[in-house]
Amino acid sequence: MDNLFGCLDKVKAEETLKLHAKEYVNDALSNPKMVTAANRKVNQMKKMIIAACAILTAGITAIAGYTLCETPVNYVSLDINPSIELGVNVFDHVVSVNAANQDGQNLIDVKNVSNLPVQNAISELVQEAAEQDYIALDGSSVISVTAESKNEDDALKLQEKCSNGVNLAMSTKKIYAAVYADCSDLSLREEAKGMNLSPGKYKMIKMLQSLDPTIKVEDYADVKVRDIIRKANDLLESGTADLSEEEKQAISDKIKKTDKKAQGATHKAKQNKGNSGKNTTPDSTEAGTVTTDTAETGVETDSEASKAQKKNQGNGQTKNQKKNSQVLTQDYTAGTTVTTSPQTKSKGSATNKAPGNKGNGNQKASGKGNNPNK
Amino acid sequence: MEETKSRTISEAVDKHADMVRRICFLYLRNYADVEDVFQEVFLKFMLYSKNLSNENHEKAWLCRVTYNQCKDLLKSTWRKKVISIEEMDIPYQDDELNDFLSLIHQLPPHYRQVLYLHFYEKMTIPEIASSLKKNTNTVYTHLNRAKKLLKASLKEEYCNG
Repeated sequence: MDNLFGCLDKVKAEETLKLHAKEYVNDALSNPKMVTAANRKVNQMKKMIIAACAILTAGITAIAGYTLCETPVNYVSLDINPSIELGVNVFDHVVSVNAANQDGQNLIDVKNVSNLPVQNAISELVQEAAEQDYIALDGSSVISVTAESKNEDDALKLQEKCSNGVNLAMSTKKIYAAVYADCSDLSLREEAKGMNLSPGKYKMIKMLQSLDPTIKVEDYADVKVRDIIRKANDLLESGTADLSEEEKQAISDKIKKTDKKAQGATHKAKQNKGNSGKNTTPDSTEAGTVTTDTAETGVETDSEASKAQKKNQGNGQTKNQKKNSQVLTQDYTAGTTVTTSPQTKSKGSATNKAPGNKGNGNQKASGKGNNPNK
Repeated sequence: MEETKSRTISEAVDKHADMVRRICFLYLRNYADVEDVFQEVFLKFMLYSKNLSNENHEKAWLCRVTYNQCKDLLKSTWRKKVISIEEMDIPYQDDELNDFLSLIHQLPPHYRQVLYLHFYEKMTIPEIASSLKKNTNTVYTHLNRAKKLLKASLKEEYCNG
């Protein structure tokens, strides 16, 4: 090999070649333009590299931003009998919509709620559910909204928005129903997916199971939320539930009030039907009364029901009736909202604030436990 | 000042011209191309030689720049549609060199440089790796493969007579 390459000794730079090279380099160095041109090439390369890096960074940022906007971080479960799960991004906009049953699919086939703020999305879906007769005209339906998040504060905020959405739908459509609002951790969602149920409904069935362990999840998969609430109420009243007093009280606070409010909604719906000839806008006549009550308690009260009761039962109980309705609406645990009528004032959504709201005197109400309707 | 500069250019060209010419010989067959590369290499050398610390560094730098210039020229020649082999200048009339040329041009370009630096410039593998800005293991691999190919070509030529 060395001998082979040894022949390269014969290769020498010709004198003309060297001379031309010297002349060329001399001219180039004495001409600043040529030097600049040589440098410019390098600078251009650097600029191209910087531009390419900038474009790459912008591209990656855009993709990351898009992924962030399109990735659900929290979830909301809407259950009436239609069960729908909404995936919500960091901005509380809907990025995914999935039906957990055929009824839910019927709703989302008609209503596209993608990219809407979650409150509006819930409102649209509840209105569509009313259109498709999934919400009983007699006011007996229970609408359940469950917010799922890793972070408890986020879950509570989301729950509040969802409750507002339901209330907005009910006042728009002039329908009556009880609202059951709850929140949970994301881990529940995974379990619910395994059972092909929406997390909200799954949580309610789990609650039933805690009252009666013989209950199977599959038996209640297609049951309406209203009927689940009733079953839970029946189990509590029968006293067969094998739970501590604290646990019973916690469930009772949620279930009993919801059941009562469902009954109240039924009553209101009947009343509204009866008054439909005289008063087509029940909200406006109630506005003043609701304001007064909310001014006192900061919580929307069942003023229409209390008025009807006053008429039926005589005047002597006016004050007590007011107190009772206050207790009923104030006495619920954190994360649960119970409303029966279309929201007339935004303060009605203060029911969501009630659990931690010092102004309502919640703790006192629950301490008294004064609920004659029981 | 001008005179000092000229002396420096002249010194640089005289010192390294043969090495640059040999590397051009490995890649280019056209004298015009050799001249282009020659001039560009020394212009760059004059522009960037301040950053070169010692003679070995200079040599390594020149080898790499000449190799890259030849590569770039060959690429651009392809884009302009390569002239046919009959139109090319044959640099040397020496038969030994012509035989060597025909042998070496059968090898891929990156193998030729490694062979030249190892067998002619007597550079070690790490020095070659440093000069060409390549991994040492890569240089080992290239060298081994190049030697095998060269041996195979020599054997074939010997058999064919």
